[in-house]
Amino acid sequence: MEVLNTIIFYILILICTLCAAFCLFQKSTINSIAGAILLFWGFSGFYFLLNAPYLGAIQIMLWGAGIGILMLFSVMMTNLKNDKKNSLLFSLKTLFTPVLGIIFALLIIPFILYQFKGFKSIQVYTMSDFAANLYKNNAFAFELTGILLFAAILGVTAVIVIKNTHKQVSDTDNTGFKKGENV
Amino acid sequence: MFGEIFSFINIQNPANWLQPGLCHYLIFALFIFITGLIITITSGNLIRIIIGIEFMINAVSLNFVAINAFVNENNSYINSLTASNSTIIQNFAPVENLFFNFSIPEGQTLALFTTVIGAINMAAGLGLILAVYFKFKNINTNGLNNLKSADCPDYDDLNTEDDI
Repeated sequence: MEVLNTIIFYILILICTLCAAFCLFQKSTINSIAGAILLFWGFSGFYFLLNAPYLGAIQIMLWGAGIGILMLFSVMMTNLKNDKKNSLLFSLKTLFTPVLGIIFALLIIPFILYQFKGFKSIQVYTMSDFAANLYKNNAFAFELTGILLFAAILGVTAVIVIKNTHKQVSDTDNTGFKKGENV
Repeated sequence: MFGEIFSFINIQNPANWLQPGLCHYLIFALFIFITGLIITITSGNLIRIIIGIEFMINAVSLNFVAINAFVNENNSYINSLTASNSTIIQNFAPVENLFFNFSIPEGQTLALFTTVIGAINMAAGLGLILAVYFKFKNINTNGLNNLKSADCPDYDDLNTEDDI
């Protein structure tokens, strides 16, 4: 069982690394979004390996399907073409990528020198454990998150509605007819 | 807490290094975080910036879940500390306040909150991106330069070409 877990772990590492690199280096935004969706689904595999099946299912539904579709709709509505090649961005990418790679290499040195001890817990938390913890110990944070979500939806709706209202007002003259119609 | 997570590597048996442990998950999460950071910094349009931010949020969620799985009652000796053993506990906090309950999925709950806030962030961000597009008909970071001062050099004059 441990051998199987190890094999699955490294397969997921490979898939997620390739997806992340694909997302980074693709010029087309649609292809980047496809790579991101595959990466999020790979993360759900990690959650199943870490005894978090409920979170893995949420990851598949929310990140892979929900947010992926949201991003695709946004690309569709903005009529997005490929990223333009720009010397400033090229120089930023050329500069930042090796610098961040060096920082990454330096940061993993303590992980390599000091191996984390201990074993993975065999306890699989059920949905009832999850819900009990959420409503008993984190009720306030849960309520705040709900209010935040509500405020975000209201804000986005208000921005879109106000924009459409301005457009309608600018298209009409003082008498209420569209410009050019009051003849 | 810090001391119970780290221990010296077993140099005698390098085969143990391949066994997926907490450090493997944290290294991978760090890699994804840095990838998201690179995407956010070097993106040419606003949607890609949001994608980079979501990468970082997912890396943080993975950290929470991995630590929740590996820091458990088998590993943690902090619950066995008593006031007589530790001067730190005597001086700063009573023992009962330091009792960690490992039967609750605290890390997974935090990961869920992180996920929900990431979704909120994305929804609000994409709504604003649409508003920007309706106004300016452009979501490239180069084109949104109304606040640029006259002293700032214009990089658009240098070797720009459309990709196929």
